[in-house]
Amino acid sequence: MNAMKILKTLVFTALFAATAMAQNQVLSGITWNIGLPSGRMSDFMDKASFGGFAIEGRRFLSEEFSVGGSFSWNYWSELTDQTIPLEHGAVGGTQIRYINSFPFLVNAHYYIGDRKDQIRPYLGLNVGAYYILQRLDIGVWSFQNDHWHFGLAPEAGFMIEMSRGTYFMATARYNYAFDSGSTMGGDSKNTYAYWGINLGVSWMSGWF
Amino acid sequence: MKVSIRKSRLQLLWVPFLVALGGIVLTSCYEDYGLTTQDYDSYLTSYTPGTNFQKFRYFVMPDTIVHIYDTTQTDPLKSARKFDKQILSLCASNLEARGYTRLASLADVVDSSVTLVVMNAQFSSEFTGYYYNYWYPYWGWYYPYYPGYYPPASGGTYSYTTGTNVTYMADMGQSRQDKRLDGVWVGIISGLTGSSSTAGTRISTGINKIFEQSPYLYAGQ
Repeated sequence: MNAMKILKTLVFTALFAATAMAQNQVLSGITWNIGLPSGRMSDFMDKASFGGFAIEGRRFLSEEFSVGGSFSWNYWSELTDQTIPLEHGAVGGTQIRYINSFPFLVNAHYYIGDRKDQIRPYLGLNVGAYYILQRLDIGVWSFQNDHWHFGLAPEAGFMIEMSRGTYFMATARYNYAFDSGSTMGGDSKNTYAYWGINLGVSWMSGWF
Repeated sequence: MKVSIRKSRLQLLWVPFLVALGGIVLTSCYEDYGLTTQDYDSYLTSYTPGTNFQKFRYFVMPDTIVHIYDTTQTDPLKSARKFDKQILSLCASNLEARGYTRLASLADVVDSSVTLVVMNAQFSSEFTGYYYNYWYPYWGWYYPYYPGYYPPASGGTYSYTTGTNVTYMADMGQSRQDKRLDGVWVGIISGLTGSSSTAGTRISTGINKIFEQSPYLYAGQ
């Protein structure tokens, strides 16, 4: 009898928890990402990237708070003939410079206002890994340098409800990939930093 | 309720589509900008740290370029020898524009400690390799069937030859003292061979470029 009582309690608790979780909503979406190099990264690439995208999912734990994850890609490419200074000399010629950045991030967001508001600002923090691939083509030579970095990306944005469960999203994010090795030129610090402007569409779905 | 579940599952179908889209985009992410032969020229300069270029006032330079090649074969750069005088003339004019005075021969050297020895040499290099396209055909194994990976459909070999001109400067006084060549500066121009119509222009650009990249290279008063 006691065992049956315990079993019933456990089943009831599990069902209650499942129901509570089922009421949590999931926001998933895709964004078009613009990337603007900053700091040391802008010495190599000072051109904006308009070729990037991200897919993201956020699970609301309450009306004001969500956790989730995202995968993004930003790509920069520049044709230049800028002379590259070396420690005791220089190298010149037509160059094509490339950077590919692949952030794999988990995130948490805090939402301002009420869930029923049509426009809802939010603040967020992303943490995770960046895989960054840098390549320089000069003359008949090609040099490549790729590393994994630990990174952080604080962000702020807003969502506008366009129709029931569908939102337009706009986010400004500062991506910072910490030092994890040497640069292509042999320097000891290979940090990367760039601003991201992400515009896209998201859908809210509930699990039943 | 059933409508909501169906809608959620439909939304999830976007995920593999987007991942596949990302894969296709990634495979074409390296543009080549339609470069011409001249765009593959490169210019490298290097100087010995601590060199005081302002102490030098004169330079001597042979009126020939040393051609380095396997003498059992024909020199791959034989057709480019018609540009030798152009190269030597440009080297001399660039140094003179920077305040150095050319001496006609070694016999005219009065003070070797303020004299540079300038030499030019040329050689060629041949590169061969192969390539194949990993990503083609990308859709072949994923849709509509899944019988296994299809072998790559494109590939080939490549071969190209580069020509390199090296301009080398040594401190005559220090070299005589050490009984070896003490180099203080080197300028290297390298590019693809085969485009004779633009060779003269490319050579002029290259020689001028290696001096432009060396703003420290000028004579003292």
